[in-house]
Amino acid sequence: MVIRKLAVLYLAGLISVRAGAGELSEADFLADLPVVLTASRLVQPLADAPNAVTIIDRKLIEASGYHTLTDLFRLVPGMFVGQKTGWFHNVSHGFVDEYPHRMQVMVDGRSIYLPSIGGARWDTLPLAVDDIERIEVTRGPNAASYGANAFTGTIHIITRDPADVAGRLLRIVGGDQRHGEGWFRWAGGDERLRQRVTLGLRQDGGFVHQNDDEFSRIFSYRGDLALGRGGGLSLQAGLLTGTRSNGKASNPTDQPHDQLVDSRFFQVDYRHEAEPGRMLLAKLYYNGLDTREDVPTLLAPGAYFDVDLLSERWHGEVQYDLELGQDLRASLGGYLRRDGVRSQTYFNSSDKLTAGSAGAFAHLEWRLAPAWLINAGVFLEDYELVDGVHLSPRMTLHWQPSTRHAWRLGVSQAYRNPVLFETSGYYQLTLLDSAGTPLFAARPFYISSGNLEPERMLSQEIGYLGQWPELGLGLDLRLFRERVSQVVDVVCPSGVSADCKPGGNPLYLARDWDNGGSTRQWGLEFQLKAQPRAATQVWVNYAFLHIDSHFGERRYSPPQQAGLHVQQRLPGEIELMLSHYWVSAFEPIGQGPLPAFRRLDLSLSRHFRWFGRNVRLGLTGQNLGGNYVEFSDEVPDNLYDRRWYLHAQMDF
Amino acid sequence: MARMIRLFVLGLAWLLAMPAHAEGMVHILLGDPGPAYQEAAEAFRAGLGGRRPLRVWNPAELNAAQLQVLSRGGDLLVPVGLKTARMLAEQHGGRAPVLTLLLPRAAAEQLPWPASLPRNRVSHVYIDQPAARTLGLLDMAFPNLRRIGLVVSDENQSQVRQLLQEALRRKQELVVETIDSADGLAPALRRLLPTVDALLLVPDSLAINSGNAQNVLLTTYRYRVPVMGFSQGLSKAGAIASVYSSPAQIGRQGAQMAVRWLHDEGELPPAQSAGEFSLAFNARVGRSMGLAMPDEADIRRKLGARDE
Repeated sequence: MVIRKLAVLYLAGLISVRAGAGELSEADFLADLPVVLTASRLVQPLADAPNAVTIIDRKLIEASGYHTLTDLFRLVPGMFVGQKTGWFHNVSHGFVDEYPHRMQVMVDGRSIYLPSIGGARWDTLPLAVDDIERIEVTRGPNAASYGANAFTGTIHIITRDPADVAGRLLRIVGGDQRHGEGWFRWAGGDERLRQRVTLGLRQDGGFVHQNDDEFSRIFSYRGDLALGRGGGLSLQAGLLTGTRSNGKASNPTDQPHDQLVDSRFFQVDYRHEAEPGRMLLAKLYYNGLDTREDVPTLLAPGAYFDVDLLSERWHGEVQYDLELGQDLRASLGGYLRRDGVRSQTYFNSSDKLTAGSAGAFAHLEWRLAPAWLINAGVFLEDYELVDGVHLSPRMTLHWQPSTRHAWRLGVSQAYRNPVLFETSGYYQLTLLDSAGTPLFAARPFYISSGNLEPERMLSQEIGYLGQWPELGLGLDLRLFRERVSQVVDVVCPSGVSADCKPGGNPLYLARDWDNGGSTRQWGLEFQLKAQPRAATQVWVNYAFLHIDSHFGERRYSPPQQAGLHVQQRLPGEIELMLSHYWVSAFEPIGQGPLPAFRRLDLSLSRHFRWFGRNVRLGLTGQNLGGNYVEFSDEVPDNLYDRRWYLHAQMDF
Repeated sequence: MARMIRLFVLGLAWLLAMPAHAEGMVHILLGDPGPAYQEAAEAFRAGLGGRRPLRVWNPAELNAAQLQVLSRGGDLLVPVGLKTARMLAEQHGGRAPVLTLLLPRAAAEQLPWPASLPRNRVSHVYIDQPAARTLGLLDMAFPNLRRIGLVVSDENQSQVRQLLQEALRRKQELVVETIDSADGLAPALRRLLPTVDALLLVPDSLAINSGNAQNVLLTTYRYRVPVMGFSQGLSKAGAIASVYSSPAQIGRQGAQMAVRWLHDEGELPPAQSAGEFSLAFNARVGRSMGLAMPDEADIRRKLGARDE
């Protein structure tokens, strides 16, 4: 799709040959083939996109050797990747937060943003890295395309078509910290129905000094059904269940225990291209994450806190793309959504709380002249929990003086709707006895007054994309200025000190949120790609951010981040990739100061045929330098040490 | 006396104007009525420029008996297209020289000419492009696409050898997957596409043909691997660039070969591709894949292509 990219699934294409392939003739040269890659099938050229976009494709995913999805985002300029625990991953583009509220994350167009507390629980995605075709990361606000919460960036993961992975695959990974993975995938079918089934087991020991083990059972399915001329239906479903170790023996109110995780989704996509240039896309999905956690304590024999949390999202949308002549393309659509949460501890209610929202969008891509292009888009949204209807417009002007150079000037307004915990939260721990009877209720830690407006961002940016193919060079540069107002910030009741303990009283008062904050920031990001030789590729990433914050968090994002990645193909089908990252000191939201750190990762893999099977063996080293502090300033809990992993996979 | 001299001069002029090979005529055999065949025949006729009597045989006039009669004479027979060429090969009963137009090389090499017909009396203007031209276009237009994939069956082995030599000369890396059945195509593409910068399509009855080109294009696009095609139709459908010769260009090449042969009265010139060729680009697909599309006019000029 253009302008707004839903997962355009190729529901009608499968490798097949004409029955009884006949003799070659001049007809094979002279045939007037229909346009296969129609405009609506093509992804928008990066130079025409209204944002800076980084693509992590299949080749890069394999070369990186990363088996954890979030590690792949280290390849994106300005993206911070960290782990608070072995299983709690954090990916943020600006505003580094334990629960990154300000980025939209999608898998095949399905938002996996948690409506309860925000962010994505990456460890609960029923998704194998091997099933990912590519990842498109938009750096900067994108609310005009994807609505509120596509505030500082958008991650869109696109999974592999069953036709591209036909056959059976077995993959195992093992390494330090008791890391182990086993995956089996089957994919196949015929021209009418293609299917893919993936089963996986994953375990990990997390940080050396933390009780943060992970164990997951994963199932995912995708079936693509061709419905005849230009039409198709895709059905996806997934399930992840498992345990996450939590708590600490030294903490009397949070003793070691397991969080039980149950994550599931289903998704239906319908696509119909009645004629070239007219495409209808419809989508319906459900996401649910149920975490059950009984936290044992030493306060009374058998006493525990119940911190269960259920987050759900139902979403339906329709999109219509049309070409209005050679130079004008449009996309129109709308969605209806219902979010639901349930948690006695987080929301002080055993009932499910729901929040509805509806939105409509329109986009236009207009080529004024061969070198000039305008992208204009608007997203209109009505969210039940905030007053009024909010409009996220964007306009970009593109100047492409040649096929090698493209400039982009853009201005946009984006909103970030508060999550349900911010609008309706009432966080109170209640001590239960072994029979589940309340013994004692602690003072509420958060009570939301519910008077929140969406955060608002005004953004201006200049982008440049340059290519020098004869030198093997490509440059993606983004210079931006953003002003965020009505920042949702945690506050104590008026007149109370910053720790919410009035007059030195050890008993705290419940925290609330307000829209009192604002911040201004400007910065630049670039990615330079070089291919000095056919077998060598080099990426240089750099991001600089200046923050002028007027709310409780002053250093919420690293002022500088840099990355150098070198990929080398060696004789004998051996691939080598070395990645070096450097992140300057900063202070993630809600955390203590984090010192600057470096990290060096290595991946070495070899592909070969063995008894007619495709085999790939790999060795991955992570953080080959010294230990560094990861995400949280808790030392030694969050010391990231050196880790080695071995991978083996075979098609059969 | 003056009249005698005038007659002598006129006679001399007539003799000088006569081609060296004074006998016979050219028969264009059109077994197919399609516009592409007509275009090739018209270009051939124009290229011959009336140097020799020429007759165009239409599908309705061509039958086995007629072809047998024609093949017993000394006239040059020019079948246009594989169907007509095969019909002629099967019915050829004499020593009439044959110059085919529009045939794929792999198909031309399989025609069942009678043993009695000397091989130097059969030649072709292939519809295929020489390796140097195809890889030259890739090299010049997309210099950073160095690792090039190719899927073929055994019928294209000679073409593969030429491509490998040319790739070596140009410091391109050619990765070849050979398949022995149509079922092998999908796995071959799955193996190849993740490892290459571009896929070169070479017409092949098992691997790539008009019947499966659409699906191959969809698959390559999913892998974001640009495709180099071999026809205008493929570029329209989704190949980022194609080098091809139009039927008219092939017809003109045929006429040049016929004129040369008529002058030399010897062997037919060797089988060859048309000297003239055209380029087709699909900038929309190329840009969607993030490629820097070349200046098409510049590439045409450098490669010596004609605008069609």
